[in-house]
Amino acid sequence: MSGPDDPSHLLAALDEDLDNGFTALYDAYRTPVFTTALRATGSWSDAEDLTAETFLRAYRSLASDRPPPLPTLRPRAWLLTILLNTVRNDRRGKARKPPPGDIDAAPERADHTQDPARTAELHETNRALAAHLAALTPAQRDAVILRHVLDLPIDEIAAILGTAEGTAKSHISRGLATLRRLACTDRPQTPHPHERPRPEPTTRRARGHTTGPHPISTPTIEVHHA
Amino acid sequence: MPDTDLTNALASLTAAPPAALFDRVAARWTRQPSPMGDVDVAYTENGVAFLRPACLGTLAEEFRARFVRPLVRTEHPPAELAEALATCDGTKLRYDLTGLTPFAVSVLRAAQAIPKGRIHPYGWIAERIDNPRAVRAVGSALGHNPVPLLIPCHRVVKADLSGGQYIFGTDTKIALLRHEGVTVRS
Repeated sequence: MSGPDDPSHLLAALDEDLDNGFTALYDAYRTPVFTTALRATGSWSDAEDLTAETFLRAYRSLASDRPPPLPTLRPRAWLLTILLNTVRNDRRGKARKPPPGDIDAAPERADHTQDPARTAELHETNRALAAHLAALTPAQRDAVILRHVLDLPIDEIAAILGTAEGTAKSHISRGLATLRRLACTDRPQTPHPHERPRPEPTTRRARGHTTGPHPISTPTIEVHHA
Repeated sequence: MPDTDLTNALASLTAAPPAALFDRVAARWTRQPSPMGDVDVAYTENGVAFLRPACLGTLAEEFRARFVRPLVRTEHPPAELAEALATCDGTKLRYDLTGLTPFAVSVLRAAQAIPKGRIHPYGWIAERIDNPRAVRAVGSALGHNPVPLLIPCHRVVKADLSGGQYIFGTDTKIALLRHEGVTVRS
């Protein structure tokens, strides 16, 4: 969606006229900022609040006595850093509240090139995937969103997350692995031809129940003989 | 789910914000005619925030100092704004008085209640807000009215019924009161 970023014309516009340049900045980055906010929180209304707050903070910074140096500014990374800091603060504030309940109501992007059945299927897939994203750790979720939803390069993701590139890659890889496992739990399981069927465990502990809704590893049964 | 299916599905999770979200980030301004000449008016999603004579050219600077948010020109202001300016009647408008002290807001709300063609002294406002000794503070609050003309601080005069200060100038204040039907003796 985003790919390489050449902000030179936006920085020139900001330098020439802060308010009009900021309008161009908003137009250029509103979708990646809103997408990240929506997928990081799972809530449409929170995403609107966080997006507005992010752009207002960015404007206040640009209008301050010590604005970020425009010649070296990477505005997309800068805005997404502000957003994720704002999201983290918001998460702390809501730590004792129940998780967002409107993820199912969040409208997904309409794809008018598909037939209705395919669109409905895509909508279902997106909804399930958005729910699975919410099950990742915040670090993995942010990294996966930046890499695979926004299509940002690794160096930009590392800059946004404030980590080494290797750490960012690790978060992405682990996040994807968890998403794959969660996707598998959503579909009917067909045994692999080379896989022997396992006996169904009978106790809650033996079934490998964890505190989370999605078991992510094959349960192991230990039998101790007296 | 194969890797390509998963990454393709992730790539389809982009979402654009609603167009109206920009109004929570940026405010608008417009240049409009009024009985006192062209005026620049800024408004937010909560209402009219600033009005300044166009010839001063200070709207953007003053707005930014109080609100610290972008101000973008629009050619499509609300219809009721033009009507309010033409008639000097801003009673139907909403106002964004963010950043003002509660005292200043109460003074401006009291001034808003003065109908066209009537004048009152500063002391009348002070009594209306249950602060009868704050006459000078009332004068100061009206002197910093961010929305003159629409919130009619020009209808508040000195106790001896002489004009007093006005952002457009004392002569303009007198002309405006005459325009509204007030008899002003030289």
